[in-house]
Amino acid sequence: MTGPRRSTLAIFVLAPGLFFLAVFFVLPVLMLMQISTWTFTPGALMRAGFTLEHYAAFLTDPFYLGKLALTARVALVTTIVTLVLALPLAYWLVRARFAGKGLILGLVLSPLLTNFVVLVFAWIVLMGDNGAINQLLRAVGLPAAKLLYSETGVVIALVHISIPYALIPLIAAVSQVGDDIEAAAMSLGASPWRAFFAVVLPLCGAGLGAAAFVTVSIVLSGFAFALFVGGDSVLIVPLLIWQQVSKTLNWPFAAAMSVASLVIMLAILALGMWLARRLGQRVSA
Amino acid sequence: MKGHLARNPVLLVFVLVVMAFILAPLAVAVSIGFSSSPFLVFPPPGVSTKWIARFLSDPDFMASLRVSLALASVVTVAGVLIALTLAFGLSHLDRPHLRAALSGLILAPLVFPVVLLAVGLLLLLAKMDLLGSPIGLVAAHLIIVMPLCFVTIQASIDRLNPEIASAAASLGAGPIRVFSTVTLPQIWASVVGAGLLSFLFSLNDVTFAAFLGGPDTQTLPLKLFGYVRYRLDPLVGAVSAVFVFTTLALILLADQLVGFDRILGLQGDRS
Repeated sequence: MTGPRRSTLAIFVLAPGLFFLAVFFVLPVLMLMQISTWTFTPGALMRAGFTLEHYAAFLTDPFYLGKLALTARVALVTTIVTLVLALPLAYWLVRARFAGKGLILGLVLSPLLTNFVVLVFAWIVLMGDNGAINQLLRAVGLPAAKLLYSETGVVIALVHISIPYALIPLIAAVSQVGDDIEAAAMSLGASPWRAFFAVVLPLCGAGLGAAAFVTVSIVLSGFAFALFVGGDSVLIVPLLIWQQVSKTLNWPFAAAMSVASLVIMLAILALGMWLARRLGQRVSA
Repeated sequence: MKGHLARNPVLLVFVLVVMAFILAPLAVAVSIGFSSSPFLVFPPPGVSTKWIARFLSDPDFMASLRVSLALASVVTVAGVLIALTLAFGLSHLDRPHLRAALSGLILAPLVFPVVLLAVGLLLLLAKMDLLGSPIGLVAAHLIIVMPLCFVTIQASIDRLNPEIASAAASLGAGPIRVFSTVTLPQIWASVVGAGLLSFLFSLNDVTFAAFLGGPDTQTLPLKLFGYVRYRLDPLVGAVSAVFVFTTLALILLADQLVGFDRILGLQGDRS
């Protein structure tokens, strides 16, 4: 069969799926941007128009600026801890040889397909002032920690759910670094650890970037963890968005917070990746 | 030659600790579902199935379970079918750049922050007068399920020997015939696996249900979400236990059919 006819058929078959994506993915994202500039009067919901007042309110009000800084900090810590925990696991899952690897992968990825109410419930049980973690700390003579309704607790819960998501790009990245490259480094006298840090790690840069992006995306979706594990003391932006949607019904403001927080987080992420690359170059130079 | 890092004991201990951290919350939630105590205590003082029985005899929870199962079934069938057309279409597209761009677009919803997507869909569905309707929620789930099925099926198509399909084509079979009689029988396991993952996603979703749901879409996770806001007792553990066991069972089945090592592009132990 000839090329052009083949492609015509392909486009014909692709059309329904792509149309669906355009309507229910591309269009909502565009509407999010459009409606973030609409006006809102309490009680009357929203009206078409053009105003930047929601962005101005979000980006100048000290309350919201504080919450934005809190969200950035939570995202930063969560991302770093997630990468540090997930990369060695991804490396091991790729390199270690054992039967039933698919099964272990399925187990490790299972939180990704479990509803987060289950996880939230477990964290409440584990992190309470008299919860399992604090009982354990007291038993070994350590002071109890404030976990539930604290930033630490929210970060722990977010790291937990981020690891399985981060594993997917990290596993792909590690499996693209050939075993032979590592073996070559070791045959030239590098220790296995040095081979990992000097050879494997730099070659996983793109995978680490993707994993960081996914983690930031999860933090920006983590309203339920903030709601239950953080309570009123950890008001990260996704929780504020949820409150606007479910209580205040100020959709234009919710949309403006969504767009602004996504852009700001992506900018911080890009800066972080640039810095990491510079640092990597300096270390290897 | 020096020992490989993958067999290093320090790395092994680190990996085991991280895996324990990943699985511990699920284990804790399940164990409370089998608690004999009327209160939320961990570790549970004794084992009993009374909370599970209470869940299974609660008409409200059972009604929302039926809603969830119906929703997940529709989403699964639709998601698999659309993903199949996308995978088939892309594999027949002769322009590599367009193919890469389209596959990026198809996968984009998987990395977009879910809450922001939910707000966008809220605006769209309100305009279409579908807010709170089952159709709206099906569409929302499909936006995640479609790419999920697509990667799973694509991973399997990539492993096929292209010569078998070209042999069929050279014998005069049209592309649709080749796909349905040659390709599909070779990838059916991944299609079923993709279906299982879709079913699990839809069954477990809270975010879309919370943002876009209405009285007709009170799914079980949403019901549980509302319950946890006002009450904490071992009943939540019992529902969690049912969720976790269902999830694990379907994950095991999906692994048997497709192999997560394959979906993730690893060379598995199976041939």
